[in-house]
Amino acid sequence: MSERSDVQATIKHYLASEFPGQGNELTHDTNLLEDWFLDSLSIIETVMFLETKLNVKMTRRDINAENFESINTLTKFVITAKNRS
Amino acid sequence: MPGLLSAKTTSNKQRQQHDQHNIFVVAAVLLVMALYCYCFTFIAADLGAPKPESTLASLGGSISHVFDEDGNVGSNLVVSMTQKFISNDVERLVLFGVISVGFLLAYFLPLAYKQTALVVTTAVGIATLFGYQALAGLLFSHTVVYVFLHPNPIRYPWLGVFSGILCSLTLHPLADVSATSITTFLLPVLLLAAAYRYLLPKLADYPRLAPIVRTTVVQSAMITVCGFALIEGLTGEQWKLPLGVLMFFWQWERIILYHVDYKDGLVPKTLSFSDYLAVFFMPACIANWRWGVTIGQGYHYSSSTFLCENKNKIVLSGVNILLIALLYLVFSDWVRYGLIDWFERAGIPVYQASTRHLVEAFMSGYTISTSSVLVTTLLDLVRWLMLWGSVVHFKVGIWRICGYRMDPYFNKPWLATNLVSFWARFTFHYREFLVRAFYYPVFFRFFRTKPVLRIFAATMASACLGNMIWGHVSEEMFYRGMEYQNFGRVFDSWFYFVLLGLGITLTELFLLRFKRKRKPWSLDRFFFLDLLAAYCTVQFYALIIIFARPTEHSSVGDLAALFLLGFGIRL
Repeated sequence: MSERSDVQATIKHYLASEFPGQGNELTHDTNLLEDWFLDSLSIIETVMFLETKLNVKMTRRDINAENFESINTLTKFVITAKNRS
Repeated sequence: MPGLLSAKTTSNKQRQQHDQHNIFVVAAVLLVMALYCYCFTFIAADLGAPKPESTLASLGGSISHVFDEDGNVGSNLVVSMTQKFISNDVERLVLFGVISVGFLLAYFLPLAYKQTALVVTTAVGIATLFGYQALAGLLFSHTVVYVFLHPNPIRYPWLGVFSGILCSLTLHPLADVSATSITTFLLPVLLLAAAYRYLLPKLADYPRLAPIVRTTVVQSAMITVCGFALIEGLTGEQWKLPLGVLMFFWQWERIILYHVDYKDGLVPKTLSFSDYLAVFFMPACIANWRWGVTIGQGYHYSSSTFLCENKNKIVLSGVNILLIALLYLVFSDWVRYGLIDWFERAGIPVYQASTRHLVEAFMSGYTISTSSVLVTTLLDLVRWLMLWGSVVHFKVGIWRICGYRMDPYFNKPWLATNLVSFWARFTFHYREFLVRAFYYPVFFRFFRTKPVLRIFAATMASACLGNMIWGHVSEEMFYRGMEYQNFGRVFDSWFYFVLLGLGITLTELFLLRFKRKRKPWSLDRFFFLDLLAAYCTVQFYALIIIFARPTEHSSVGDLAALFLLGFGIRL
């Protein structure tokens, strides 16, 4: 498994298990901000998950619509952030 | 859930694609503006048409607490802090005219000129309604922020002289042509022009000093009002801000957000002066200048929402929200007094649906029942929600018809099933201000390995400390003047902020501990639990407002006794 698909699968498993039953199918392109997250606290929870489970050091400016739009964009962000540190 | 994060960046190419004209959409906006003019100004009388009250009567209808003595609809939509015109009706007529012109220009002009047109229209509106001195003061203050955040004396060699002229116009306009008068006028011009030309470029040579200076400029509102209030306390000398500067200070939460964007690298360093002004000069700001002051947030949010999707879709959503605002504006008092009558007839005293009156009655020794406490505080919140909802919906609607897909400030707070959701739905843009300016900095700096402590610290920093100091201390000074005793007015209600912060923190921790398995208001067997949760949320918030309405003689202990009475506990 490549690093990308590994990260993708980890994030998908987390989102599907933590915020289940949102009435939509969770794909790598699902718009998380429109169709998956329940509230802003979901994003804070996801930040803490990324920091603890995927060892990504996040900053305030990383919380934006570009990074949190979908599993694909989150994966891209995680890989970039890991390389950054 | 829309509005969770700042919107995605929109390119000019995308905006061009979204900029399609539709004459029916234009007609819809003008029709709504005409409806506003009809309801809230005396244009009907001027045109010889029946007034709103007469029209309703001719249809066989009658409704109380809606119409003024002049037969128009009484309104909380006002142009505050000015008395240049004889009545609110005339001010509103000018306001609706400015909005209509701004809309038409923003709709039909080519993309490159739309935002500049809105800036110019707003400036003309401010000059007309508040006077040219107010416009000069507001522009001067923004010029100072601009030159410190985007110093570029080579691109804008005239900006120093321009800000000097604005400063002179704000402080002491040229009254006559005497030598003293001319000298007084020219002195700030020369000083500011010289500082701009020779001192400002030097700031770049001191990389540690520059951020401190920028932060000082951005925090100028807090520094100024607190400084002058302390001076008043020590010397008894009172200071009054020029109107334009006061209007600028009312925008300071947005300036702070602009600075947050700036520090995050989201604002182009070479941003033009007119693009900077486009963030703050919007016709929507003119109505109830002191309300919903965070709508539009900083640079990134406002620029990202501008024509970020089909223009007509945004404008029509604005029409929709303006119609909702109209319903609130027209019927809120009727609903309020209807509810008061209904509960009074049911034998539950509700003290004019005013928590302040309830506190006064309690302090005067009246025996008050639990049901009275619950219903009065709830009705007061309902009153405030309708009042607040009407004005902020109007403002968001105006932003939208001007092409900005602004998130609603006020988004059905009665559907919130917990305090976190209520806070976001009740006051979305202000909550964003607190989150971006206080929550995130603490969250990403402290207790990174201790989740509970991390959330507690971040939430208390935003909902309690940031909300009380940056959200309310300064506003108290803006409203009542820079007097030492006004510190006390806010700090008297400190327990409200503590309870709000604690309530939100505990809700966050609860939600983290017990995962949500379903979306609220799904039609299943838990629907009634949603109803109960929504009531408890709104009632809790209504009850803690008791601590925000102290009387001259009440202590926190007295207010706590009344608060506990709401839970059936009589001390």
